[in-house]
Amino acid sequence: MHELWQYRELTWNLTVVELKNRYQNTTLGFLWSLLSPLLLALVMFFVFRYMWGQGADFPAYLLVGLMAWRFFAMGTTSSVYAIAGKPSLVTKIYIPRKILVLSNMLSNLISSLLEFIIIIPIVYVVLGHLPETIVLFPLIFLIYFWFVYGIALFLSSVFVYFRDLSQIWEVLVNVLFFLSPIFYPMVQITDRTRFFYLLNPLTEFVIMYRDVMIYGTLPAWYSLVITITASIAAYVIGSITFNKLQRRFAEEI
Amino acid sequence: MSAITVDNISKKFRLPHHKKTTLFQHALGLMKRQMTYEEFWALRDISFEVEKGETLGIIGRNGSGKSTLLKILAKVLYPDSGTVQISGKIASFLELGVGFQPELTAAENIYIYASVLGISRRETGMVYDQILDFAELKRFEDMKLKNFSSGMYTRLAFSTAVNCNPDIMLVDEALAVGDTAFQKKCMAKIDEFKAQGKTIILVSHAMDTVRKICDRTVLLHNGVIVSLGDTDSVILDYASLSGSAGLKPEHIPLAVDWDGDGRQELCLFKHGLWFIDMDHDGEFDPRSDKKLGPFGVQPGDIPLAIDWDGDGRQDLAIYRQGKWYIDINRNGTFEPGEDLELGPFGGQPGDIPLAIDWDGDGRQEMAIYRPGGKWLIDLNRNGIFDPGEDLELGPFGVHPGDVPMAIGWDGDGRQDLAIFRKDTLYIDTNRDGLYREGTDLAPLGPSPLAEAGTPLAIDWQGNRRQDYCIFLDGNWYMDSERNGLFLEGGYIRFGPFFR
Repeated sequence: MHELWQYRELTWNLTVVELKNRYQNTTLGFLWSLLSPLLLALVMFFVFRYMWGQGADFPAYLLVGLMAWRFFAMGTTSSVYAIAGKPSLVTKIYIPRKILVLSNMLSNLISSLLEFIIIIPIVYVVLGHLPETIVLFPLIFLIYFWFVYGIALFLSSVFVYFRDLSQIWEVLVNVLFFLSPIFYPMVQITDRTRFFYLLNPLTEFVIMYRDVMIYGTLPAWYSLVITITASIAAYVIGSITFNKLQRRFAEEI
Repeated sequence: MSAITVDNISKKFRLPHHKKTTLFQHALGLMKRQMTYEEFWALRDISFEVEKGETLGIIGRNGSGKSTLLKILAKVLYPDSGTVQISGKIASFLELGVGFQPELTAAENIYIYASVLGISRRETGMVYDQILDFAELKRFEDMKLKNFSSGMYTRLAFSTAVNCNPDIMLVDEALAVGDTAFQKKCMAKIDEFKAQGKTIILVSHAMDTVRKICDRTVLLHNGVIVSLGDTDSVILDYASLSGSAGLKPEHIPLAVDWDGDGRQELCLFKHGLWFIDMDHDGEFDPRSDKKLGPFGVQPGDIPLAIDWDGDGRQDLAIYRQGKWYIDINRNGTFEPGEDLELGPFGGQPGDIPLAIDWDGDGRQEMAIYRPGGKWLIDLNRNGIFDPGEDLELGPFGVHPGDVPMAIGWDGDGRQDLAIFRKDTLYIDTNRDGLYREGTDLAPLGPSPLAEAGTPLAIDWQGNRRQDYCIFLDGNWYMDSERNGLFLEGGYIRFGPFFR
């Protein structure tokens, strides 16, 4: 931790480089990157609007869910290459390797924040107002960040040794997309499976986001318990795996 | 106070039989219960200390573990056992420009690279102009790095690295960057670092650089330290290490009576080193035989053995671009002042030097065999050919590939001229500088063995007669029949010289 602080400027520089490369150094680049999720939201809106007899807030429901999901999907899939994709920073010089994962996560965090900043006005237009509970958004985001960061640490280090992890993870991410209430409402879930369904931390994160951004309710206590536990577990497992595997990174890359 | 303490480190690498990089392959491997990798010790029990302000060189052949050691010092690799303690800010240059971003400008990249090296933005800002000036890239400050030439790229990287003021620098042959002028600046910078009392560790194959900068040097061989200490002596050890790696064509055989007992010893000159078979068994053994040098090698150097002073012992000499360098103080190296430098003889390309006792006074003179077949013998012993005072003989008859030789064939105390042509030796026994069948000794040969090897004249038995000898593939063939035919039973074979 102390070491990460020492290298904070490098972490920040790498984050900025990541963002600049991602958006080709232009503001338009960022807007282009928003195009695909917005289009997806639009398609889903027209497809599912009448299916489940949605209320007027369905566009907001869909957008918030998709953006919350995107942070997880983008954060984990890009982190797979955080170590293996930067061989010279691993084999030619010493820097704390976690910086590579952390800077990747930070750039995703910034992207995600920007995306939310774009959709909040849309949510406002759809709902006609913004709930005060939206001030809790940063807190939930922070818990979410640690959860995804833990998974990223695990994926980035394991990928160095097992190169088919990227494909495996892509499949898993797709499965998780359908296992989480992103484009369909929770009422579709039967009571029998509901318990297991709610154990999925992603479901809880998505629910919490909607609670504070759309419904103006405080997150349920069990949602908080599940997500905080999941974040701690992901971070601990990710860190242990990473620390153990990083000793041979330079040899395996 | 030591800047780096390396205590007993070992490093093991895994060499996979078939590199498995996917979960699928690993699952298959588990089912078949194969051993998935072999272990290989890249480093074993390495210990040394580097004092603050010291420059340490690390040398060794490819695969000896140099880079692994440097990477462990740089904390890129972890040792399997042992510890490394480092005090001070360390900067490692295993590669220059780590983290450079082609899509960003030179200015942005300076800050990024500096932060990779652990330098803060504030500190970088203070030396920012210095970096650009040193790299001579001020004009290109705002140009994207992808438009840089590779020379500009390395200059920017090197300049950023050296201006970041580390306490300890780990350098892996990154010194040779840019053009000659920039290289000079780099060397000056290294000297400046040394003067400032910074610690430098240098891994290099360039022995000249190592000799110039390193106070002490470590020689690694197969992952262990075989020699550690004074740079010159470690480089010598390295040279002898490479010496045992088999014979190469640049090895020149010589006969030299080093100890003055009347018998000439077998000697090989290679990479500027002299290996003398003192115990006359035809093999080089570092314990009982003599290794001298290095003389400092330049391409085109021709080694000689010459008894210049007539004390009965032959000294070592090098003929280099028309000049003679004679190792009078007999330590195998050339020291101006103590050793003798003569000439120039008027070096023409293709001149072949000889040492010959033409007049039989017990001292050998210098001579040149000039393409075209002329012999020029420096009878007045000043290293220069003076027409009138010195002797000009020949022409012997021109033939490309002729090898001249001085040989005391008949044992009258005077050496005669001889020419080795293709597979036969022609000796001018009537001493007129020409070879005529009938008046001179009958040709010795022909012999297929001689054609493949290198001829030399050697008084092997110590009976004041020199015999004809062929050096081939590390073996010495003495023509015991004295007919130059080298038929089965007609020669004595020694060697191989190096095992």
